Amino acid sequence: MQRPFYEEERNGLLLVEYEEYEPTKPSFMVLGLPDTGLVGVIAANHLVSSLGLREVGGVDFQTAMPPVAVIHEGQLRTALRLFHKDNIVVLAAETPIPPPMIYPLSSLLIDYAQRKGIDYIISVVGIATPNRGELEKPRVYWLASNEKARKKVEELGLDIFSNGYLVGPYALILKTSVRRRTSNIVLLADAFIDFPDPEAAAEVVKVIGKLAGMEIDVQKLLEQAELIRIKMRELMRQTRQAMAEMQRAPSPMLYA
Amino acid sequence: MSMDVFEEMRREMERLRRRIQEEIDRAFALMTAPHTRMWSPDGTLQPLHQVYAYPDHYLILVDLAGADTGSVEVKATENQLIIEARLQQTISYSDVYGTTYGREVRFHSYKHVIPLPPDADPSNMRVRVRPNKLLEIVLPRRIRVRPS
Repeated sequence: MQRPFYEEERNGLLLVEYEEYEPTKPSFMVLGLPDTGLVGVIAANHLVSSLGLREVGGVDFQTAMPPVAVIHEGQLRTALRLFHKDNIVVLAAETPIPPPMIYPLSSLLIDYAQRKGIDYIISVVGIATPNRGELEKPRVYWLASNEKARKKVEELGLDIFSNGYLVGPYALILKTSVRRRTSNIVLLADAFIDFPDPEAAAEVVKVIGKLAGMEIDVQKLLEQAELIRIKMRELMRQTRQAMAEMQRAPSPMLYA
Repeated sequence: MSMDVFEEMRREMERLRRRIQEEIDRAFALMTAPHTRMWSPDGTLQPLHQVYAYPDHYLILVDLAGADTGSVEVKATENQLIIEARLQQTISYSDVYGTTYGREVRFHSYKHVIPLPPDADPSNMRVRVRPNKLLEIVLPRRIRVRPS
């Protein structure tokens, strides 16, 4: 098996690169981590396949996870996989993030983005929307960690996410970005709380296309929505368990 | 004045009862879920479902993506729901799990057994399939829980 070109170990995490790469400017790093409706994971996978990104590295959990190896085309791959082409870097998760790993992961990802000279980190988040089933089209809201990120996203005319909670890795990535003056644009889509939501992912992908100034076709994503929902069942179930462990914030679906 | 105190105590007890129930459910889910597979070699897939508790009813949603909605069958016993639906087309194990093995296993339908909460009343069950193939099952509660 191929040995990584670069390795970095930190706090139970292993960052690897299989080849050297340099994103062109302005560069975007899209994070597809599992949370509500798996919006981030589905959006990230679609970017990888529709833009033909190349796998260039990843992040693995050395502790706090069952002993599992991800194999792709005969090669050992990581639990979080990094892909790249031109000015886009995408991180796509294969598994939920073990809750104890969230703190070190947030800091590692921001350090890595800074080292790679990434201009904007884009977090793709699903928001638990109780009436999602009644919405014809999921809406997309935004948050920005600093002025540069705000200016970039504001011109799209979307609504800001003014009140609510972020729970999990994206919450920490936003907090850490504010402290480290990194530009983090958080895109939040209305999503089914307990089921994979490819339609929500499609809406976010369209917004990412506008931010990056490129046309990204979501037709295939929508056509394959039902198959994606079938494929994502197990990851959704594992994610629900991981989120239940982190989430002590009140849920809108409790009738209290 | 004294009524307020009792009312407050009742609400506090109810809040505690719910919290304990949630903790038990969570522990139970963690204990059992990793060991259960979401597919069977007999060609059935287990769909995702979620149970939502309201003061006077339970709402159960089941994700039947890819199902032939005309074939959905929901049977209720006193303590469980049995849900079955055919898939519009068969799907191979490798399509679902992205592996190169298991091509010979093909899935043709969904099957799922959902245990019912003890106060759910299956005799007055309402079932409908939403346009996005989410199956919606509404079961009244025998004991009405007062919202606190």
